[in-house]
Amino acid sequence: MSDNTILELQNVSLTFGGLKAVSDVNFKMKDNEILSLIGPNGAGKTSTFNLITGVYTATSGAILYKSKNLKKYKPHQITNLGIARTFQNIRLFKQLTVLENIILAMDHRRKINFFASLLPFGPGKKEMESVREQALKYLEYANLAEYKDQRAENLSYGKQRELEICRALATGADLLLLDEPAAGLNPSETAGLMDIIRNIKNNLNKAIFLIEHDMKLVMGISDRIVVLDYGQKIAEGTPEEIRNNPAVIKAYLGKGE
Amino acid sequence: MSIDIVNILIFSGINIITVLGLNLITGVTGQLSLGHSAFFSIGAYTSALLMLMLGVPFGVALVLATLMAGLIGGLFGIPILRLRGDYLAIATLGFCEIVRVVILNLKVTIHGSEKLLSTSLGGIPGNTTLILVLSLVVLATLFMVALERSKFGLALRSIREDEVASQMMGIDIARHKILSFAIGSAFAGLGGALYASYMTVISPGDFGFMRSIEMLCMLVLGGMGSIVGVIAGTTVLTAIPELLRFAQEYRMIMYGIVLIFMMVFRPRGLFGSIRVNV
Repeated sequence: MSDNTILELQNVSLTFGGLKAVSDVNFKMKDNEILSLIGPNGAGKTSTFNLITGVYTATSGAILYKSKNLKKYKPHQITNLGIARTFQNIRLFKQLTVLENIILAMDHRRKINFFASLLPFGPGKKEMESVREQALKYLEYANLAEYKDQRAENLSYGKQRELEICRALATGADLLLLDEPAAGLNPSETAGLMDIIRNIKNNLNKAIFLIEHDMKLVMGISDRIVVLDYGQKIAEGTPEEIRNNPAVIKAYLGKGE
Repeated sequence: MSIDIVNILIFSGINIITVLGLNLITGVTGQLSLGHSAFFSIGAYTSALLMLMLGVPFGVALVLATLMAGLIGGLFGIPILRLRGDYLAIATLGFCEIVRVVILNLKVTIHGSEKLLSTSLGGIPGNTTLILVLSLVVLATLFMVALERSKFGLALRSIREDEVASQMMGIDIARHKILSFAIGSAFAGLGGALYASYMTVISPGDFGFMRSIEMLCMLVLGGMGSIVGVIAGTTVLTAIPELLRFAQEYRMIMYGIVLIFMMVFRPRGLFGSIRVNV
Protein backbone atom coordinates (compact mmCIF):
# COMPACT_ATOMS: atom_id res chain seq x y z
CA MET A 1 0.00 0.00 0.00
CA SER A 2 1.40 3.39 -0.95
CA ASP A 3 2.03 5.93 1.79
CA ASN A 4 -0.62 8.45 0.95
CA THR A 5 -3.58 6.08 0.77
CA ILE A 6 -6.16 7.43 3.20
CA LEU A 7 -9.02 5.02 2.52
CA GLU A 8 -9.12 1.56 1.08
CA LEU A 9 -12.04 -0.77 0.44
CA GLN A 10 -11.05 -4.42 0.07
CA ASN A 11 -13.67 -6.75 -1.42
CA VAL A 12 -16.43 -5.06 0.54
CA SER A 13 -19.90 -6.58 0.34
CA LEU A 14 -23.14 -5.73 2.08
CA THR A 15 -26.24 -7.88 1.84
CA PHE A 16 -29.72 -7.25 3.20
CA GLY A 17 -31.35 -10.67 3.23
CA GLY A 18 -31.05 -11.79 -0.38
CA LEU A 19 -30.28 -8.36 -1.76
CA LYS A 20 -26.69 -7.47 -2.51
CA ALA A 21 -26.54 -3.73 -1.93
CA VAL A 22 -22.77 -3.59 -2.29
CA SER A 23 -20.92 -6.43 -3.93
CA ASP A 24 -17.19 -7.07 -3.79
CA VAL A 25 -16.16 -3.45 -4.16
CA ASN A 26 -12.47 -2.51 -4.22
CA PHE A 27 -10.86 0.87 -4.51
CA LYS A 28 -8.26 3.11 -2.93
CA MET A 29 -8.35 6.80 -2.22
CA LYS A 30 -5.35 9.12 -1.76
CA ASP A 31 -5.15 11.71 0.97
CA ASN A 32 -5.04 14.64 -1.42
CA GLU A 33 -7.70 13.85 -3.95
CA ILE A 34 -11.32 14.45 -4.73
CA LEU A 35 -12.88 11.10 -5.51
CA SER A 36 -16.44 10.88 -6.80
CA LEU A 37 -18.77 7.94 -6.48
CA ILE A 38 -21.42 7.91 -9.16
CA GLY A 39 -24.00 5.51 -10.46
CA PRO A 40 -27.74 5.21 -11.13
CA ASN A 41 -30.22 5.40 -8.24
CA GLY A 42 -30.04 2.34 -6.03
CA ALA A 43 -26.51 1.49 -7.14
CA GLY A 44 -25.26 1.32 -3.56
CA LYS A 45 -23.58 4.72 -3.23
CA THR A 46 -25.13 5.84 0.05
CA SER A 47 -24.80 2.26 1.35
CA THR A 48 -21.07 2.57 0.71
CA PHE A 49 -20.99 5.79 2.74
CA ASN A 50 -22.94 4.11 5.51
CA LEU A 51 -20.40 1.28 5.52
CA ILE A 52 -17.47 3.67 5.80
CA THR A 53 -19.08 5.66 8.61
CA GLY A 54 -20.05 2.54 10.55
CA VAL A 55 -23.81 2.84 10.21
CA TYR A 56 -23.76 -0.56 8.51
CA THR A 57 -21.23 -3.32 9.07
CA ALA A 58 -19.87 -4.97 5.96
CA THR A 59 -21.04 -8.54 5.42
CA SER A 60 -17.55 -9.33 4.15
CA GLY A 61 -14.40 -7.50 3.21
CA ALA A 62 -12.48 -4.78 5.01
CA ILE A 63 -12.47 -1.00 5.09
CA LEU A 64 -9.16 0.60 6.04
CA TYR A 65 -8.76 4.22 7.06
CA LYS A 66 -5.11 5.25 7.42
CA SER A 67 -4.36 1.49 7.50
CA LYS A 68 -6.75 0.93 10.41
CA ASN A 69 -9.53 -1.61 9.94
CA LEU A 70 -12.76 0.21 10.80
CA LYS A 71 -14.67 -2.96 11.57
CA LYS A 72 -14.51 -2.75 15.35
CA TYR A 73 -15.28 0.97 15.57
CA LYS A 74 -18.65 2.50 16.34
CA PRO A 75 -19.90 5.40 14.20
CA HIS A 76 -18.93 8.09 16.71
CA GLN A 77 -15.46 6.57 17.10
CA ILE A 78 -14.99 6.60 13.34
CA THR A 79 -15.71 10.33 13.41
CA ASN A 80 -13.11 10.69 16.13
CA LEU A 81 -10.61 8.89 13.90
CA GLY A 82 -11.08 11.58 11.28
CA ILE A 83 -13.96 10.79 8.92
CA ALA A 84 -16.92 13.17 8.78
CA ARG A 85 -19.91 13.28 6.50
CA THR A 86 -22.86 15.28 5.27
CA PHE A 87 -26.24 13.85 4.40
CA GLN A 88 -28.31 13.49 1.26
CA ASN A 89 -31.23 15.19 2.98
CA ILE A 90 -29.75 17.89 5.19
CA ARG A 91 -29.47 16.83 8.83
CA LEU A 92 -28.55 19.94 10.77
CA PHE A 93 -29.51 20.45 14.39
CA LYS A 94 -32.36 22.67 13.28
CA GLN A 95 -33.32 24.32 16.54
CA LEU A 96 -29.77 24.96 17.63
CA THR A 97 -27.97 28.08 16.48
CA VAL A 98 -25.50 28.03 13.63
CA LEU A 99 -22.64 28.50 16.09
CA GLU A 100 -23.93 25.69 18.34
CA ASN A 101 -23.99 23.36 15.34
CA ILE A 102 -20.28 23.98 14.85
CA ILE A 103 -19.39 23.79 18.56
CA LEU A 104 -21.15 20.44 18.76
CA ALA A 105 -19.00 19.08 15.93
CA MET A 106 -15.92 20.03 17.96
CA ASP A 107 -17.24 18.15 21.00
CA HIS A 108 -14.99 15.10 20.79
CA ARG A 109 -11.90 17.30 20.63
CA ARG A 110 -12.83 19.15 23.84
CA LYS A 111 -11.06 17.70 26.83
CA ILE A 112 -12.86 19.42 29.68
CA ASN A 113 -13.85 17.82 32.94
CA PHE A 114 -17.63 17.44 33.32
CA PHE A 115 -17.82 19.39 36.58
CA ALA A 116 -15.49 22.15 35.41
CA SER A 117 -17.68 22.59 32.34
CA LEU A 118 -20.69 23.35 34.55
CA LEU A 119 -19.13 26.31 36.36
CA PRO A 120 -19.61 29.79 34.91
CA PHE A 121 -16.05 30.73 35.93
CA GLY A 122 -12.56 29.25 35.96
CA PRO A 123 -11.31 26.68 33.45
CA GLY A 124 -14.82 25.88 32.19
CA LYS A 125 -15.44 29.46 31.12
CA LYS A 126 -12.01 29.80 29.57
CA GLU A 127 -12.41 26.61 27.60
CA MET A 128 -15.87 27.65 26.39
CA GLU A 129 -14.51 30.98 25.18
CA SER A 130 -11.68 29.39 23.24
CA VAL A 131 -14.05 26.87 21.66
CA ARG A 132 -16.42 29.65 20.61
CA GLU A 133 -13.50 31.50 19.07
CA GLN A 134 -12.40 28.45 17.09
CA ALA A 135 -15.97 27.75 16.00
CA LEU A 136 -16.29 31.33 14.77
CA LYS A 137 -13.16 30.83 12.67
CA TYR A 138 -14.81 27.91 10.93
CA LEU A 139 -17.88 30.06 10.28
CA GLU A 140 -15.77 32.91 8.98
CA TYR A 141 -13.98 30.53 6.66
CA ALA A 142 -17.38 29.43 5.30
CA ASN A 143 -18.71 33.00 5.15
CA LEU A 144 -21.45 32.11 7.62
CA ALA A 145 -20.32 34.18 10.60
CA GLU A 146 -23.09 36.74 10.22
CA TYR A 147 -25.68 34.02 10.86
CA LYS A 148 -24.02 32.63 13.97
CA ASP A 149 -26.90 33.31 16.37
CA GLN A 150 -29.69 32.27 14.04
CA ARG A 151 -31.33 28.92 14.28
CA ALA A 152 -29.99 26.61 11.60
CA GLU A 153 -33.53 25.99 10.31
CA ASN A 154 -33.89 29.68 9.43
CA LEU A 155 -31.03 29.65 6.92
CA SER A 156 -31.76 29.41 3.21
CA TYR A 157 -31.44 25.96 1.69
CA GLY A 158 -28.11 26.74 0.04
CA LYS A 159 -26.66 28.14 3.27
CA GLN A 160 -27.84 25.05 5.13
CA ARG A 161 -25.86 22.88 2.70
CA GLU A 162 -22.79 25.04 3.30
CA LEU A 163 -23.28 24.90 7.06
CA GLU A 164 -23.43 21.12 6.89
CA ILE A 165 -20.08 21.00 5.10
CA CYS A 166 -18.64 23.51 7.56
CA ARG A 167 -19.89 21.36 10.44
CA ALA A 168 -18.21 18.28 8.97
CA LEU A 169 -14.97 20.25 8.71
CA ALA A 170 -15.27 21.36 12.32
CA THR A 171 -15.00 17.75 13.49
CA GLY A 172 -11.36 18.09 12.46
CA ALA A 173 -11.71 15.27 9.95
CA ASP A 174 -9.12 14.59 7.27
CA LEU A 175 -11.62 12.80 5.05
CA LEU A 176 -14.96 14.39 4.21
CA LEU A 177 -17.77 12.33 2.75
CA LEU A 178 -20.25 14.56 0.97
CA ASP A 179 -23.52 12.88 0.04
CA GLU A 180 -25.08 14.78 -2.89
CA PRO A 181 -24.00 18.24 -1.73
CA ALA A 182 -25.41 19.90 -4.85
CA ALA A 183 -28.89 18.37 -4.58
CA GLY A 184 -31.48 21.13 -4.74
CA LEU A 185 -28.98 23.89 -5.50
CA ASN A 186 -29.37 26.25 -8.46
CA PRO A 187 -26.53 26.55 -11.04
CA SER A 188 -24.88 29.55 -9.41
CA GLU A 189 -25.02 27.93 -5.98
CA THR A 190 -23.54 24.78 -7.49
CA ALA A 191 -20.69 26.81 -8.95
CA GLY A 192 -20.10 28.31 -5.51
CA LEU A 193 -20.08 24.82 -4.03
CA MET A 194 -17.43 23.70 -6.50
CA ASP A 195 -15.20 26.55 -5.36
CA ILE A 196 -15.77 25.59 -1.72
CA ILE A 197 -14.86 21.95 -2.34
CA ARG A 198 -11.72 22.86 -4.31
CA ASN A 199 -10.78 25.32 -1.62
CA ILE A 200 -11.11 22.70 1.11
CA LYS A 201 -8.90 20.34 -0.84
CA ASN A 202 -6.24 22.83 -1.85
CA ASN A 203 -6.01 25.09 1.20
CA LEU A 204 -6.99 22.74 4.02
CA ASN A 205 -5.47 19.60 2.49
CA LYS A 206 -8.49 17.42 3.08
CA ALA A 207 -9.46 14.37 1.08
CA ILE A 208 -12.99 14.58 -0.29
CA PHE A 209 -15.17 11.65 -1.23
CA LEU A 210 -18.25 12.74 -3.07
CA ILE A 211 -21.55 11.22 -4.15
CA GLU A 212 -23.17 13.38 -6.76
CA HIS A 213 -25.61 13.25 -9.64
CA ASP A 214 -24.71 16.64 -11.08
CA MET A 215 -22.33 15.56 -13.84
CA LYS A 216 -21.03 19.05 -14.48
CA LEU A 217 -19.85 19.19 -10.88
CA VAL A 218 -18.49 15.66 -10.89
CA MET A 219 -16.57 16.08 -14.15
CA GLY A 220 -15.43 19.55 -13.13
CA ILE A 221 -13.78 18.85 -9.79
CA SER A 222 -13.08 15.12 -9.48
CA ASP A 223 -9.54 13.82 -9.67
CA ARG A 224 -10.87 10.32 -10.11
CA ILE A 225 -14.29 8.70 -10.33
CA VAL A 226 -15.62 5.32 -9.22
CA VAL A 227 -18.81 4.07 -10.90
CA LEU A 228 -21.20 1.68 -9.19
CA ASP A 229 -24.10 -0.18 -10.75
CA TYR A 230 -26.21 -2.77 -8.94
CA GLY A 231 -23.71 -2.69 -6.09
CA GLN A 232 -20.73 -3.54 -8.28
CA LYS A 233 -17.86 -1.37 -9.36
CA ILE A 234 -18.08 -1.14 -13.12
CA ALA A 235 -15.43 1.48 -13.78
CA GLU A 236 -12.76 3.60 -12.14
CA GLY A 237 -10.62 6.35 -13.60
CA THR A 238 -10.19 9.99 -14.44
CA PRO A 239 -13.19 12.01 -15.65
CA GLU A 240 -11.98 11.61 -19.27
CA GLU A 241 -11.76 7.83 -18.97
CA ILE A 242 -15.17 7.59 -17.34
CA ARG A 243 -16.83 9.83 -19.90
CA ASN A 244 -15.83 7.46 -22.70
CA ASN A 245 -16.26 4.18 -20.87
CA PRO A 246 -18.83 1.99 -22.70
CA ALA A 247 -19.91 0.16 -19.51
CA VAL A 248 -20.73 3.49 -17.84
CA ILE A 249 -22.66 4.74 -20.85
CA LYS A 250 -24.60 1.49 -20.87
CA ALA A 251 -25.42 1.71 -17.17
CA TYR A 252 -26.68 5.25 -17.49
CA LEU A 253 -28.43 5.15 -20.83
CA GLY A 254 -29.19 1.47 -21.37
CA LYS A 255 -28.02 -0.32 -24.48
CA GLY A 256 -29.86 0.21 -27.74
CA GLU A 257 -30.05 -2.55 -30.29
CA MET B 1 -58.78 27.05 56.94
CA SER B 2 -59.02 28.54 53.46
CA ILE B 3 -55.90 28.07 51.34
CA ASP B 4 -52.71 26.62 52.75
CA ILE B 5 -49.99 28.56 50.94
CA VAL B 6 -47.13 26.71 52.64
CA ASN B 7 -48.64 23.42 51.57
CA ILE B 8 -48.94 24.56 47.95
CA LEU B 9 -45.38 25.90 47.93
CA ILE B 10 -43.91 22.71 49.32
CA PHE B 11 -45.76 20.54 46.84
CA SER B 12 -44.83 22.89 44.00
CA GLY B 13 -41.18 22.76 45.07
CA ILE B 14 -41.13 18.98 45.24
CA ASN B 15 -42.80 18.78 41.83
CA ILE B 16 -40.42 21.36 40.33
CA ILE B 17 -37.37 19.33 41.36
CA THR B 18 -38.96 16.19 39.94
CA VAL B 19 -40.15 17.76 36.68
CA LEU B 20 -36.74 19.42 36.17
CA GLY B 21 -35.45 15.86 35.96
CA LEU B 22 -38.13 14.90 33.45
CA ASN B 23 -37.31 18.02 31.45
CA LEU B 24 -33.71 16.89 31.14
CA ILE B 25 -34.80 13.49 29.83
CA THR B 26 -37.68 14.54 27.60
CA GLY B 27 -37.36 18.28 26.95
CA VAL B 28 -33.58 18.47 26.53
CA THR B 29 -32.59 15.00 25.34
CA GLY B 30 -35.86 14.25 23.54
CA GLN B 31 -36.48 10.83 25.13
CA LEU B 32 -40.16 10.43 26.04
CA SER B 33 -40.49 8.85 29.47
CA LEU B 34 -43.77 7.72 31.02
CA GLY B 35 -41.96 6.12 33.93
CA HIS B 36 -40.80 9.14 35.86
CA SER B 37 -43.04 8.41 38.83
CA ALA B 38 -41.23 5.09 39.28
CA PHE B 39 -38.06 6.97 40.21
CA PHE B 40 -40.07 9.28 42.42
CA SER B 41 -41.34 6.23 44.32
CA ILE B 42 -37.87 4.65 44.46
CA GLY B 43 -36.62 7.86 46.09
CA ALA B 44 -39.55 7.98 48.51
CA TYR B 45 -39.24 4.36 49.64
CA THR B 46 -35.44 4.35 49.76
CA SER B 47 -35.36 7.38 52.02
CA ALA B 48 -38.30 6.24 54.17
CA LEU B 49 -36.93 2.72 54.67
CA LEU B 50 -33.39 3.93 55.37
CA MET B 51 -34.73 6.14 58.14
CA LEU B 52 -37.22 3.64 59.55
CA MET B 53 -35.14 0.47 59.35
CA LEU B 54 -31.60 1.71 59.90
CA GLY B 55 -32.19 5.02 61.62
CA VAL B 56 -30.18 6.86 58.98
CA PRO B 57 -30.30 10.65 59.47
CA PHE B 58 -32.62 12.56 57.14
CA GLY B 59 -29.87 14.40 55.23
CA VAL B 60 -27.99 11.18 54.47
CA ALA B 61 -31.21 9.41 53.48
CA LEU B 62 -31.99 12.24 51.09
CA VAL B 63 -28.61 11.91 49.37
CA LEU B 64 -28.75 8.11 49.23
CA ALA B 65 -32.30 8.15 47.84
CA THR B 66 -31.17 10.54 45.11
CA LEU B 67 -28.19 8.34 44.23
CA MET B 68 -30.30 5.18 44.33
CA ALA B 69 -32.86 6.57 41.88
CA GLY B 70 -30.04 7.80 39.64
CA LEU B 71 -28.28 4.44 39.71
CA ILE B 72 -31.43 2.48 38.90
CA GLY B 73 -32.28 5.03 36.20
CA GLY B 74 -28.87 4.57 34.62
CA LEU B 75 -28.97 0.76 34.78
CA PHE B 76 -32.47 0.69 33.40
CA GLY B 77 -31.41 3.12 30.68
CA ILE B 78 -28.71 0.81 29.33
CA PRO B 79 -31.04 -1.67 27.63
CA ILE B 80 -33.97 0.64 27.07
CA LEU B 81 -32.49 3.76 25.54
CA ARG B 82 -31.80 2.13 22.21
CA LEU B 83 -35.56 2.37 21.69
CA ARG B 84 -37.03 5.54 20.28
CA GLY B 85 -40.24 7.52 20.49
CA ASP B 86 -43.38 5.57 21.27
CA TYR B 87 -41.46 2.31 21.76
CA LEU B 88 -39.40 3.96 24.47
CA ALA B 89 -42.55 5.44 26.01
CA ILE B 90 -44.19 2.01 26.30
CA ALA B 91 -41.02 0.47 27.75
CA THR B 92 -40.77 3.18 30.42
CA LEU B 93 -44.43 2.62 31.18
CA GLY B 94 -43.66 -1.05 31.69
CA PHE B 95 -40.85 -0.17 34.04
CA CYS B 96 -43.21 2.03 36.03
CA GLU B 97 -45.52 -0.95 36.55
CA ILE B 98 -42.63 -3.25 37.50
CA VAL B 99 -41.50 -0.89 40.24
CA ARG B 100 -45.05 -0.55 41.54
CA VAL B 101 -45.57 -4.32 41.66
CA VAL B 102 -42.18 -4.94 43.27
CA ILE B 103 -43.02 -2.46 46.02
CA LEU B 104 -46.46 -4.05 46.47
CA ASN B 105 -44.78 -7.40 47.17
CA LEU B 106 -41.94 -6.29 49.39
CA LYS B 107 -41.78 -7.33 53.02
CA VAL B 108 -39.60 -5.35 55.42
CA THR B 109 -38.75 -5.58 59.10
CA ILE B 110 -39.19 -2.41 61.08
CA HIS B 111 -38.38 -2.43 64.79
CA GLY B 112 -38.59 -6.22 64.84
CA SER B 113 -41.99 -6.49 63.26
CA GLU B 114 -42.66 -7.57 59.69
CA LYS B 115 -44.47 -5.19 57.44
CA LEU B 116 -45.90 -5.49 53.93
CA LEU B 117 -45.29 -2.49 51.75
CA SER B 118 -48.59 -3.03 49.93
CA THR B 119 -50.22 -1.27 52.84
CA SER B 120 -49.35 2.28 53.71
CA LEU B 121 -46.03 2.96 55.35
CA GLY B 122 -46.33 5.47 58.17
CA GLY B 123 -44.20 7.01 60.88
CA ILE B 124 -41.68 8.52 58.44
CA PRO B 125 -39.89 11.41 60.19
CA GLY B 126 -41.45 14.62 58.88
CA ASN B 127 -38.30 16.59 58.21
CA THR B 128 -39.24 18.30 54.97
CA THR B 129 -39.58 22.02 55.56
CA LEU B 130 -40.43 24.90 53.27
CA ILE B 131 -36.93 26.40 53.63
CA LEU B 132 -35.30 23.10 52.72
CA VAL B 133 -37.51 22.57 49.69
CA LEU B 134 -37.04 26.09 48.39
CA SER B 135 -33.25 25.96 48.82
CA LEU B 136 -33.14 22.66 46.96
CA VAL B 137 -35.33 24.13 44.20
CA VAL B 138 -32.83 26.97 43.79
CA LEU B 139 -29.88 24.56 43.72
CA ALA B 140 -31.61 22.20 41.31
CA THR B 141 -32.52 25.06 38.98
CA LEU B 142 -28.98 26.46 38.97
CA PHE B 143 -27.58 23.01 38.29
CA MET B 144 -29.94 22.46 35.36
CA VAL B 145 -29.21 25.88 33.85
CA ALA B 146 -25.47 25.20 34.04
CA LEU B 147 -25.88 21.68 32.70
CA GLU B 148 -27.88 22.78 29.70
CA ARG B 149 -25.30 25.38 28.76
CA SER B 150 -22.36 23.03 29.18
CA LYS B 151 -20.65 20.84 26.60
CA PHE B 152 -22.68 17.91 27.90
CA GLY B 153 -25.97 19.83 27.63
CA LEU B 154 -25.25 20.87 24.05
CA ALA B 155 -24.61 17.23 23.15
CA LEU B 156 -27.94 16.26 24.75
CA ARG B 157 -29.77 18.92 22.76
CA SER B 158 -28.14 17.70 19.57
CA ILE B 159 -29.46 14.21 20.32
CA ARG B 160 -32.95 15.68 20.62
CA GLU B 161 -32.53 17.43 17.28
CA ASP B 162 -31.11 14.54 15.29
CA GLU B 163 -29.74 11.38 16.81
CA VAL B 164 -28.07 10.12 13.63
CA ALA B 165 -26.35 13.41 12.86
CA SER B 166 -25.24 13.70 16.47
CA GLN B 167 -23.59 10.30 16.33
CA MET B 168 -21.95 11.21 13.04
CA MET B 169 -20.48 14.31 14.65
CA GLY B 170 -18.67 12.10 17.13
CA ILE B 171 -21.10 12.06 20.05
CA ASP B 172 -21.37 8.79 21.96
CA ILE B 173 -25.14 8.95 22.04
CA ALA B 174 -25.69 5.82 24.13
CA ARG B 175 -23.48 7.15 26.93
CA HIS B 176 -25.07 10.59 26.82
CA LYS B 177 -28.61 9.25 26.87
CA ILE B 178 -27.89 6.96 29.81
CA LEU B 179 -26.26 9.77 31.79
CA SER B 180 -29.17 12.09 31.03
CA PHE B 181 -31.61 9.42 32.16
CA ALA B 182 -29.62 8.78 35.34
CA ILE B 183 -29.41 12.47 36.29
CA GLY B 184 -33.09 13.03 35.47
CA SER B 185 -34.08 10.01 37.55
CA ALA B 186 -31.92 11.19 40.44
CA PHE B 187 -33.91 14.43 40.53
CA ALA B 188 -37.13 12.41 40.70
CA GLY B 189 -35.59 10.41 43.54
CA LEU B 190 -34.81 13.59 45.45
CA GLY B 191 -38.37 14.80 44.89
CA GLY B 192 -39.73 11.48 46.12
CA ALA B 193 -37.57 11.53 49.26
CA LEU B 194 -38.78 15.04 50.11
CA TYR B 195 -42.34 13.94 49.46
CA ALA B 196 -42.07 10.96 51.82
CA SER B 197 -40.76 13.14 54.62
CA TYR B 198 -43.44 15.74 54.07
CA MET B 199 -46.39 13.34 53.96
CA THR B 200 -44.92 11.02 56.66
CA VAL B 201 -47.22 8.32 55.25
CA ILE B 202 -46.77 6.83 51.79
CA SER B 203 -48.45 3.98 49.94
CA PRO B 204 -47.89 2.43 46.50
CA GLY B 205 -51.09 4.07 45.28
CA ASP B 206 -49.42 7.50 45.51
CA PHE B 207 -47.01 6.68 42.68
CA GLY B 208 -49.04 5.14 39.90
CA PHE B 209 -48.71 5.65 36.21
CA MET B 210 -51.10 8.63 36.39
CA ARG B 211 -48.50 10.43 38.42
CA SER B 212 -46.08 10.13 35.49
CA ILE B 213 -48.71 11.59 33.20
CA GLU B 214 -49.30 14.45 35.64
CA MET B 215 -45.56 15.23 35.58
CA LEU B 216 -45.58 15.17 31.80
CA CYS B 217 -48.57 17.57 31.76
CA MET B 218 -46.67 20.00 33.99
CA LEU B 219 -43.72 19.86 31.62
CA VAL B 220 -45.82 20.30 28.49
CA LEU B 221 -47.87 23.13 30.00
CA GLY B 222 -44.76 25.08 30.95
CA GLY B 223 -42.95 24.29 27.72
CA MET B 224 -40.60 21.42 27.01
CA GLY B 225 -36.95 22.29 27.27
CA SER B 226 -37.64 25.49 29.21
CA ILE B 227 -36.54 25.69 32.83
CA VAL B 228 -38.70 28.76 33.48
CA GLY B 229 -41.51 26.79 31.89
CA VAL B 230 -40.98 23.88 34.28
CA ILE B 231 -41.28 26.21 37.25
CA ALA B 232 -44.39 27.96 35.89
CA GLY B 233 -46.18 24.88 34.57
CA THR B 234 -45.53 22.88 37.70
CA THR B 235 -46.64 25.65 40.04
CA VAL B 236 -49.82 26.29 38.05
CA LEU B 237 -50.85 22.64 37.87
CA THR B 238 -49.95 22.03 41.52
CA ALA B 239 -51.90 25.07 42.68
CA ILE B 240 -55.02 24.66 40.53
CA PRO B 241 -56.48 21.63 42.33
CA GLU B 242 -55.80 23.28 45.67
CA LEU B 243 -57.15 26.70 44.71
CA LEU B 244 -60.23 25.12 43.18
CA ARG B 245 -61.04 23.08 46.25
CA PHE B 246 -64.28 25.07 46.62
CA ALA B 247 -65.45 23.72 43.26
CA GLN B 248 -65.26 20.18 44.62
CA GLU B 249 -65.78 17.57 41.96
CA TYR B 250 -65.58 20.07 39.11
CA ARG B 251 -61.94 20.89 39.76
CA MET B 252 -60.47 18.06 37.74
CA ILE B 253 -62.69 19.10 34.84
CA MET B 254 -61.27 22.61 35.06
CA TYR B 255 -57.77 21.14 35.23
CA GLY B 256 -58.52 19.35 31.99
CA ILE B 257 -59.94 22.46 30.37
CA VAL B 258 -56.76 24.39 31.17
CA LEU B 259 -54.71 21.73 29.39
CA ILE B 260 -56.96 21.73 26.33
CA PHE B 261 -56.88 25.53 25.99
CA MET B 262 -53.12 25.53 26.37
CA MET B 263 -52.59 22.97 23.64
CA VAL B 264 -54.89 24.85 21.27
CA PHE B 265 -53.48 28.32 21.83
CA ARG B 266 -49.89 27.70 22.93
CA PRO B 267 -48.87 24.24 21.80
CA ARG B 268 -45.25 24.82 22.80
CA GLY B 269 -46.29 25.66 26.36
CA LEU B 270 -46.20 28.85 28.41
CA PHE B 271 -42.49 29.46 27.97
CA GLY B 272 -41.45 26.87 25.43
CA SER B 273 -39.73 27.81 22.18
CA ILE B 274 -38.78 24.45 20.78
CA ARG B 275 -40.54 21.52 19.20
CA VAL B 276 -39.79 18.14 20.65
CA ASN B 277 -40.48 15.30 18.27
CA VAL B 278 -40.36 12.24 20.43
